[in-house]
Amino acid sequence: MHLAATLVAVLFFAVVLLGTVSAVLPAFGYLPVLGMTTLSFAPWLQLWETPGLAEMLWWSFFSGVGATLVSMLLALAFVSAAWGSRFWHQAERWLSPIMATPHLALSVGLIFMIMPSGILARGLSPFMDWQGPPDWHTVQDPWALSLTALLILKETPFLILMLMVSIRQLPVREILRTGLGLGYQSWTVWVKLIWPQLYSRTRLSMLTVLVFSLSVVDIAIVLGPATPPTFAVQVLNWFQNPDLEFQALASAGSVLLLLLVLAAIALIIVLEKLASSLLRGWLTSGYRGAGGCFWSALSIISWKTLLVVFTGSSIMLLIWSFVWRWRFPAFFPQSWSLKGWERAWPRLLEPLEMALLIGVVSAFLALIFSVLILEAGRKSQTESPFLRKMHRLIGRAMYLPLLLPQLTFLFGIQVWLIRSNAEGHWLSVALMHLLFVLPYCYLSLSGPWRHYDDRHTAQALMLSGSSVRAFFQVKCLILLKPLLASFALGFAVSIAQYLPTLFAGAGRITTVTTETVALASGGNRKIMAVYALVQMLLPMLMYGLMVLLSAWRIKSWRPIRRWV
Amino acid sequence: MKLEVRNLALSVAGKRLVSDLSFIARAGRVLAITGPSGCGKSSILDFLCGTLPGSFQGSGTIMLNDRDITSRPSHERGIGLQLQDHLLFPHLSVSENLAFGIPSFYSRSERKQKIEKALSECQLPNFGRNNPLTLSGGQRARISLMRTLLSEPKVLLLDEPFSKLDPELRQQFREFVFNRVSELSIPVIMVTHDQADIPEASETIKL
Repeated sequence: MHLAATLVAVLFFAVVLLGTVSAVLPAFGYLPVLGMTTLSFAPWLQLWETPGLAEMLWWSFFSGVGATLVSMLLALAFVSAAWGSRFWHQAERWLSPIMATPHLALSVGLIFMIMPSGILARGLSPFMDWQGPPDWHTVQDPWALSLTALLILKETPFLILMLMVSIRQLPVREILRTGLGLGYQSWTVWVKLIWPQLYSRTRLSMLTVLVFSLSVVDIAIVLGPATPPTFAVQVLNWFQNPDLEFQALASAGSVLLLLLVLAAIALIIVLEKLASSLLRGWLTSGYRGAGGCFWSALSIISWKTLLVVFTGSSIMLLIWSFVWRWRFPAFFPQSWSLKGWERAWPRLLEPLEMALLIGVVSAFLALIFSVLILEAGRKSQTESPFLRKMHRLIGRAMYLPLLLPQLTFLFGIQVWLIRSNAEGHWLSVALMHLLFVLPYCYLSLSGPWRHYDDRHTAQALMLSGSSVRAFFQVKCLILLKPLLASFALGFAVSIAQYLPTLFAGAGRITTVTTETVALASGGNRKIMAVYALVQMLLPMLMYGLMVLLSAWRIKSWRPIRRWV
Repeated sequence: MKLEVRNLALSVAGKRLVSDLSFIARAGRVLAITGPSGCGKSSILDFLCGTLPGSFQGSGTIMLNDRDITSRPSHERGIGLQLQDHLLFPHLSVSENLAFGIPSFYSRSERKQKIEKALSECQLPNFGRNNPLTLSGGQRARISLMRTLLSEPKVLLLDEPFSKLDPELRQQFREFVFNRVSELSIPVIMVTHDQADIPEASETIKL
């Protein structure tokens, strides 16, 4: 088992590292596939001379770092205000659907809300006396504000979820009782005593948000600035340029993107150090706090705004997919039709089938590999210190693909796929998706696996005498709910993948996501709404199916009962 | 200084824990509340502090020096609470944990003096820079109590302060606590299920 788990982990890391290294060589003019065999700095010089380079880098940096810091602050504030209140339970109910919604579908919904002819402008038009759409730059604005807003909208719930998991490890009630007993306001107790401890536990999750926000491509195409675009989008444009000369420039760009990500991570570390030394005196100054009610209310208002925008975006997708005529400034559509669906459906079927196939295969493989690695890690606890260390290392390294910009290593992997003639096959795409699905499945399962009481297995082993039966018939059935939830999460992650499909699919494999991005740049709004809605519904349906399955009384499920 | 509680009633999920309880805790004296586990001892302290969980219902009046503080927020009541876990904050050093208790109106030099004095009273003069996780159970208990006392509470509540210590440490910490308490002219209310914890010259309420 250790050998199999190690093999899977080594293969996984090798592919990521090989992809990264393979992207570095073309950046220095070495790409034998295209006949470039001499090392040179020409791609870097060409990159340096790119018009608007500084602007592209700045807006990527601004939107990425800004969205991450604001999301983290909002998430911490919400957790502090909601702990022990009804909002905590409300968040537990809402987080799953928000998390399951792909960024892209949400960004299309957001466009329908904030665009000049969107519902927001329609709602304001009677008061502003607008007869035509206002001259707003709310979508693809040059300051990347709509992109930043979308990132905040999507990443705050993710960080809230991570904080809700981490907070279980802290004696929050005791800390609050102690802090209040010392005369501190509740809000100050959170900021001075609980935030520092929570932050250190969710730092890695925040860094994954940072990397994602800096290097995201699909939603940056739809919502981000256009002339010039964010840097990641520009790098993709170079990669997709039919002139092969641009491949070396794109590689140099992808390496620069990696450097940008590293610089942002370094900035966060410097900010942490600064905050730690500058705020240390304030932490122990004895200041008991003021205005706690204001901050609590503000946090809850932010949460409610987030829910309203999320719900509004989803409703907009639904409305636009059935709209036939909706002239500005009317608040309600004038006529409805199924024509959007009728026109979209025939073209949508193939990408839909492909998305389902790739999603199910990659999520299934990720689930099996996660269980294998976790089970081997669990067994290593009672074995040699070397094995324990190795499995701890594997666990930490699972974050690796989430801490590197996708563009950087996917291009390198694509080079290897071309060499081995595996490009453009659905299985290659599924395996490429696996690189991102596996970390999420592993991370979602690691908690339940850690908390599983091994005495159940020991008891089953004594009764049945078979470790295989004890594992499948007891452990897997006890952990059925997290296993199904992990599968649904893996499926949702796969559905949302854009770049891996683009790089491994070579244009021959298309999914709902790649088609939605293609439509978003100037397509018909009704068709775009249908595609985005389908993309949004797929993971939700899978979550629903898994919830139904886990709620099903296993005892009355005949096939399992017979097998057991 | 005195704390008076009138007609205290507590219940959880429809089950009555305490009904019509009235008592007065006087300055420099220990009032011990005893009873079996689950009878509502700690909940009484939570009611006094204003930290009663939402699932509990509580009623009654709390008077501090004849002033009604029942509806005042927890941080304005001036009631210090010492928990059985002797919780120290792991992201702050031992000195910083003590500094956390000192009110903000003291100057930097006064704060420093108070911390040094507290450390030497705890017999831990060279432990200021240490991480609290490196301290033993008894050391943690002393620092935690000192931190509560440095916040200058008008009333001190002790929630099973000795229950998590081994017998030898328990005896030492008991002496440490009651020596400090006798120096203070504030009311002390202690919750315990162990009769041995109760000092001789104290009043006792049995639940």
